[in-house]
Amino acid sequence: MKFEHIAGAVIHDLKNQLQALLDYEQEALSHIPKRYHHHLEPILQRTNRLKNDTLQMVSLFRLEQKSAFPMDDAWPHDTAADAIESTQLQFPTIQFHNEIGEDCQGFYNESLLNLALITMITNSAQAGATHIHISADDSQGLSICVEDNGHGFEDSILNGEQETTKTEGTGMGLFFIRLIAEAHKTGEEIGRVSYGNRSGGGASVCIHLP
Amino acid sequence: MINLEETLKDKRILIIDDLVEARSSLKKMITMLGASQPDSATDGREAMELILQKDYDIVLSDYNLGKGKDGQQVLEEARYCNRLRASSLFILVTGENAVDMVMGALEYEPDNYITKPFTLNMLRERLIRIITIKERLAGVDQAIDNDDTDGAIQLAEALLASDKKMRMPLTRVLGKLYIRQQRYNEAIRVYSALLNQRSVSWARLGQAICMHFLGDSRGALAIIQQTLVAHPLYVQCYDWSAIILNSLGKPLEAQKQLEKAVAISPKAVLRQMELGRIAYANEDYPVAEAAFEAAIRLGRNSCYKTSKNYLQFTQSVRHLLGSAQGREQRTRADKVFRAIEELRQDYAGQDSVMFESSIAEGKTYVALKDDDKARQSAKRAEEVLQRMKEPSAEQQLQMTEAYIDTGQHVKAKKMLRTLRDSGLSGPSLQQLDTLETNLNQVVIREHAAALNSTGVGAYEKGDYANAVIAFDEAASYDEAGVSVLLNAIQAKLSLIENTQIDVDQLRDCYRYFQRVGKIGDNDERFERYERLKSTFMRLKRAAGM
Repeated sequence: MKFEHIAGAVIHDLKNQLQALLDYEQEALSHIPKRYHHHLEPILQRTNRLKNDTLQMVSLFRLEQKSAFPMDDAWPHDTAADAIESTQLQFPTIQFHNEIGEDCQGFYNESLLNLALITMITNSAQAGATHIHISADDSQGLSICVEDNGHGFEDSILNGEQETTKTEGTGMGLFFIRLIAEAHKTGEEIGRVSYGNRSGGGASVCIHLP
Repeated sequence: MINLEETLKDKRILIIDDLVEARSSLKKMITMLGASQPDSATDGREAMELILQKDYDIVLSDYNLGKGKDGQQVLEEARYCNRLRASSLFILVTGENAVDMVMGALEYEPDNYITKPFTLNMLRERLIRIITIKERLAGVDQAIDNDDTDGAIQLAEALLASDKKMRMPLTRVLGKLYIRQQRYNEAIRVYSALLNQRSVSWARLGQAICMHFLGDSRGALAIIQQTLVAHPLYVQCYDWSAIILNSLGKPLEAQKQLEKAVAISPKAVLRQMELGRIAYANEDYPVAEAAFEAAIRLGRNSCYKTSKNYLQFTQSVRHLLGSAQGREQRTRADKVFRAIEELRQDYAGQDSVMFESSIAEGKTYVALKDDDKARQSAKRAEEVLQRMKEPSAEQQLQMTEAYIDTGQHVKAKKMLRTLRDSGLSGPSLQQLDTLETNLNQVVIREHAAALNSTGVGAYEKGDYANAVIAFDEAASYDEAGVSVLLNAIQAKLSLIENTQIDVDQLRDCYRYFQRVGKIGDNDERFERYERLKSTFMRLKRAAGM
């Protein structure tokens, strides 16, 4: 057995264990008076972050193994709402704005897109954002954009000299998002990622799916 | 969009999950979302019992249900026995890694799926989407439930033209309806239109199926192969490859494809039955035995249970009984007898099944060379046959065969005569002829054996004249073996030595030697043959021939 397969299996189990841990913690929280919640919340936050990280690893592993990620009808509004729900806990001070219309529809692998959005939100949070806006456009293919009011990308990243400047986290956010976009193909067309700084400050990252 | 609480309020809902925590959590969630008193089941068996009793509007089942059936099989069985209307919702709850298998289903596909893990909010969102789509399809589903396929097609086509966002679910249903009406070109049209925009495996398989029915089986196989490259676990692709290969006259390759499908998804009864049938036709009895055995095991307590599986199982095993020995043979035979016992209990009122089980039992005893038991089974079959009002030609032929197998030649002959007088035709007539030939051969063989032993008796008493008469008659049949011929020669030579030279008898000996032909020096009869030959030569010389 190859090391990478063992690693893959371990991470998969880790993900399941962390999800169970998260469920137990939330269950515990619901039985404990509110004034004690601040004791448990840091644990919950860390667990959540670890779960998201392992989820990322599992998907990365499967993407590298060229596993099939089936695509289906999906609704960006719901996907974004799920991503917000699973990051909100970790970043309680951020205000999220899900601006995607309920009728907006796409054709993608929901788990992958959900992960991409979680990664994009985490990036924004680490850049000091307090407001995150998520929008989408399904008039041609599908584009989903995350815009924040953080410190934006540094020039070295924008002109391609560096992949990351972060000291916190894995530093592979953009790489991962790009992998996810590229896993979405229709005929000759392939998904891509665009990013830049907004004129009023903050970053903007978009995923474009064919 | 719909109001979820209002919609769920008066729906009959069934929740299926083998894990107690998951089940109660889902039940709690769905109740919080507005459902009142949903039922729950812990496994596929319990679920089917409930589905057979009650009409459910919504079934939420986990894909993985532990040891027994999985959620997909509950769905298939419910649809197979018409216990799930088109307008009711079947939703599979699945981990991300099984989504692939769930989405691919073309014929018995769930209305939708929910990926685990999910929170209350995620479940709410998802259910709203799923029910909203279902309500848009309500007219179409209603028409399907009323068996109005034309109406359903018309409605679905109109919706497809007006609502691009419903393209996927509408194409699924339209493709299926067109295939049902054998309008393959129309089905290909809708599948292709979708495939131009969306790369979905079920549409590609649908397209391939239609191409096969339109005569382009090779093209269909190529598309299926391509789909399998991207989706190696897509079992239905193997099922259809098998169907197409079989139609192209390649049953061995077809069997291989089905074996792959069974390896991926071993719990599907219908697939095991199909594999059993094709392996049996290919005379691959070990595979047929395993497949029918699995079909029996999986089909117990399900609406797939049929007496045919049991009988086909016994047939497959019987072919293996001859080659097996000792304990292995005993184990095999016991399996057959258990299957027959189960048939006798579960289908007690059905004469045709009772008849066939006794026939199967008898044949098994014949293979085990247990003549007494074989005769008993034939007797049981005979009793059932006699109380049947109008036994079919097939059944009477089976009875005849049992008579022959158990040495009841008079009865066999009588039944054959009745059957011939009734004017059979086609394969039944062919079978009748074969049985008649068999019977004749058996009778002759037995008659010859009797004559031979009469001859031996006379010879031992020194009554060579009568021995010659008996052996001559036994040797008069073309089927007479070497021993009979050598006996006849020996009797004649002894008669001549004890009386006088008889040229006619010596001529007969010469003819018998010719019929015996050459006997090799490692044959156990070689010495006797040589001895007789030299006596014959000596007497021939003495006769001056």
